[in-house]
Amino acid sequence: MNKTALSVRNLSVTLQTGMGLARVVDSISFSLQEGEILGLVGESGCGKSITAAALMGLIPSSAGIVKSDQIMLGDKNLARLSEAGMRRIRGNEMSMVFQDPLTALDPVFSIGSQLSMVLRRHRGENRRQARRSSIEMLERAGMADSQRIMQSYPHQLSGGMRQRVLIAMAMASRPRVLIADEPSSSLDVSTQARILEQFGELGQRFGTAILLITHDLGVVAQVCDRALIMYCGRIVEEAPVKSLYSSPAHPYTAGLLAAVPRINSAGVQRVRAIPGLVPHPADLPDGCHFAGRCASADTQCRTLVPGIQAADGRNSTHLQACHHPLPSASHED
Amino acid sequence: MKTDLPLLSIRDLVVNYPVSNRGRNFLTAVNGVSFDIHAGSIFGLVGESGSGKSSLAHTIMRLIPPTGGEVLFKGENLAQMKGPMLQKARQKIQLVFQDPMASLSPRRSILQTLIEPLDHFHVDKAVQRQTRAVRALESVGLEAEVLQRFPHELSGGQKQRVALARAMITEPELIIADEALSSLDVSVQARIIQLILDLRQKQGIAFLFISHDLAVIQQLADSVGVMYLGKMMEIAPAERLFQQAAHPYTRSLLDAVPVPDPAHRKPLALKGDAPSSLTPPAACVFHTRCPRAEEQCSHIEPIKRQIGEAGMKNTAHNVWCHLWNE
Amino acid sequence: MIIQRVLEQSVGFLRSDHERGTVRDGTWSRLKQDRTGIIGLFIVTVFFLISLGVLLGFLGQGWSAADGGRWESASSNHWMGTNLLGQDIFQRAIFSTRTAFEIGVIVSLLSTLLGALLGALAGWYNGKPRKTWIDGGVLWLTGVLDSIPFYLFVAAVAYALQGWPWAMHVAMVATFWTATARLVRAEVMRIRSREFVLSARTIGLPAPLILFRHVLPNTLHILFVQATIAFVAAIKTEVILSFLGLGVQDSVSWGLMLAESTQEVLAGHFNNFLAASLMLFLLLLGFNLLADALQDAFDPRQAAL
Repeated sequence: MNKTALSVRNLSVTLQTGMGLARVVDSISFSLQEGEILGLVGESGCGKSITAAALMGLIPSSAGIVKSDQIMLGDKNLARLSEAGMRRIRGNEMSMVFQDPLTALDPVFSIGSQLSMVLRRHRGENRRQARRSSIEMLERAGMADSQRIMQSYPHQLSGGMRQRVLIAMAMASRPRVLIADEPSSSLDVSTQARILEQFGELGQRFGTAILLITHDLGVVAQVCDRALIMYCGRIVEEAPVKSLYSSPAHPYTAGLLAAVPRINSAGVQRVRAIPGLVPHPADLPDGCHFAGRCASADTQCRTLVPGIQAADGRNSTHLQACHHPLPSASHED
Repeated sequence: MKTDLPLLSIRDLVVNYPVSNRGRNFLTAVNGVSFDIHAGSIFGLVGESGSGKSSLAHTIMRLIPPTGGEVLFKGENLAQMKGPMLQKARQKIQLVFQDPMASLSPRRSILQTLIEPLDHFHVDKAVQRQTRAVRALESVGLEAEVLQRFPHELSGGQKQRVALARAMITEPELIIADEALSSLDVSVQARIIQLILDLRQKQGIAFLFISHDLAVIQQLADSVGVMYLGKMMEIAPAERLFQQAAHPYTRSLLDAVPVPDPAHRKPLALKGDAPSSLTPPAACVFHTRCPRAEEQCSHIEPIKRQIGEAGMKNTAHNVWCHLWNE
Repeated sequence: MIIQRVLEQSVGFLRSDHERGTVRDGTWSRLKQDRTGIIGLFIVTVFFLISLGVLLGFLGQGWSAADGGRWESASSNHWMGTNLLGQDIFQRAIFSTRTAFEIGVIVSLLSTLLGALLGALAGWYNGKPRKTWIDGGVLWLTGVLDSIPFYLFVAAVAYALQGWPWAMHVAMVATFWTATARLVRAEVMRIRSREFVLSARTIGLPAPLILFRHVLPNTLHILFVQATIAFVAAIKTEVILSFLGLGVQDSVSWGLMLAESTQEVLAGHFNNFLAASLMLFLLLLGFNLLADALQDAFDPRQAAL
């Protein structure tokens, strides 16, 4: 059994909005094992990016309040760490890759110098060693033309290459945990596929645990071992990916899966939209947040918040938060 | 309805962009592309970044002048139209952009935005224009009270629906949607897909739907064209493309799309990175990454081969690839 | 920066969908929260009311009456004493508020408008084949004007048009517009490729209409800040011109008072100097605070996020 790389208990984030206080992340708990790729899935506004920012300690106190029972990275509790302590962790034991690769790289320095800077800082290498390691890292990330890339500036590279460079930089210190926030959404399908391959290797080769934040259910199916589905700040389902897709327990998950277009060589499979609108985080309904859009909702759903329980008839690690979960679609897992 | 004269006809279109980049002073975004769109049908144009698909859309809308070839709207050359004829054409072809954040004028209310094309084209009497705006909003599933709001008060999905309402409000015959769904959430996207299909069915509006997302294209398109680095690789009726794609690029695109099914994990077929559109490869532009490239592919440019019959309304299945030389 | 972008992307959704009413999407509320900005606004308002009072004939009317003795000290008749000619210093200081606002408002409005127009034209036609000379022309003009030492130029224009009551205003407008023009030009070049502008073009709207309806309104944040800066610059420039004898002619201003006071101070009489510099300092301070607060309020990324 793998060790736990990251363990989060009851994380909440409250932000100040024009309409009052909004609980954008509502007491979520999960854990990330070494070497595994965990998908944090949801649509815009569900709180997944804020969760990532909160884990990295990037939410300033002027913007909102972050509370948690604990956030254990190995044996350190990040929730109790000072800013100085967090700075030592960031980029070191826990790294993050953002969605937009262009703004994450400094436009006035060449790729080579930025890579070397990271290596000299985190691995204590000298200039020559750092240069050699940089080239090695680029080649291992599948970029054949490493010499040219070392000398290039960010704007001279394509979006896909920039993102791969960033992933290489984030991995420079061999972090325990890598958080990737929509790393491939701004990229072409073929580049995206390559980046996902890169992620797959990272987990295997270095034992890095990856928290992959995305809205793309196709990406999750291709790369993730387990996935968490978030809706309005809460985790509504958590399962190994196979079980999640073949037998979703929560109506929202099922709705999402029905709305995703799939290529079908036998003919078009029509997508179905989820009725209703996502509620505003500052104006959330009582009880289950999804009740207003759910076909099986009743009074209990509208008053009582569903707790997290194991899903019937499925793998014991498949959890859901619903008063009327969907029956199991397969017999065995 | 004339089924023989296409609504929109692109013939050998070439579009060059001036650029300043180390001695090169233009970029050929579109390099000899031809296809037809028939009234009331949805044509899906697939391409990744650098394929030239957006430049194509911009050229049709006369935001950029064509360098060569023609764009024919109901048989008339669109790029050379002037005066009242141009006005009429502009009314009949509308465009919806990708980025909902930037597609609506920030300091104008939704009402003002919707009415602007009506005022400009003198549609209806002034008093009736607000009613038309309300009806347009309702047909995209938004309430009348949205008229008073400003773009920043709406979500991405709502903004995109307003953009669609604005495109429809002049009762066009063709709507060009340039990656219009790409930045939307899955559930919103599903709703707008249904909306587009509705519009086609109830109002007979034709669509040129441009996207890199093949799965979405399958939901919508009657015919599909696949572009790569400014050239057309394959055109086919939708069912044929998804059943028996002929071109290696189309096949690898279909393979690369992440399937929302963990039971189907696929290795990557495409080699290398996409070349820059500033220096496209010679002859067949795809040969540098093609898993089935042969000697001739780097010397001779493939010409169009028809490999499927064209029905009355259907597009023929055409491919630009040496593998199909028989 | 990255932090802000992540939060913007996620929090951006929070601003949508349900917030009503605020056209400037938070600008006014941010302004209200800025303490120094409120102080600045307060000071400027007070001065504005004073100048209004002068204009309507309630205040400062006795500025030219030479009814006191020479250099009287402060008394109940003359609150700040009198100057060389026996004129009431306090009245003069109050009246000068109107002068200041007149110059400030006229120069800032006209130079901002001129700068906005020329900047917008330059930005729009930049790079457009056959029309790019408009951009070239405007840039050349700004280059020429900016390469001339500022005060020399203003003085020269004011001297050349001497005798004409608007000489000073023209001189200032002729130089102040370049800063605004350059900023507006850059912003227009940024805006013109955004989709809502492209949409307007695809409908076939003519360029001037697009500029006025869609482009310029989105440069308001620049224009407001530039207008306040121009106001301050105008008043300061007037002081210099008064020292050169090229300032107001049949009126009084703080600059004129300061110029007069140079001799008086040597003789040990400070009231003139104090009155003028105090008023000047307060108004400029108020405006500077206001300008800073406006700049912060207009830029959503400066918000406390």
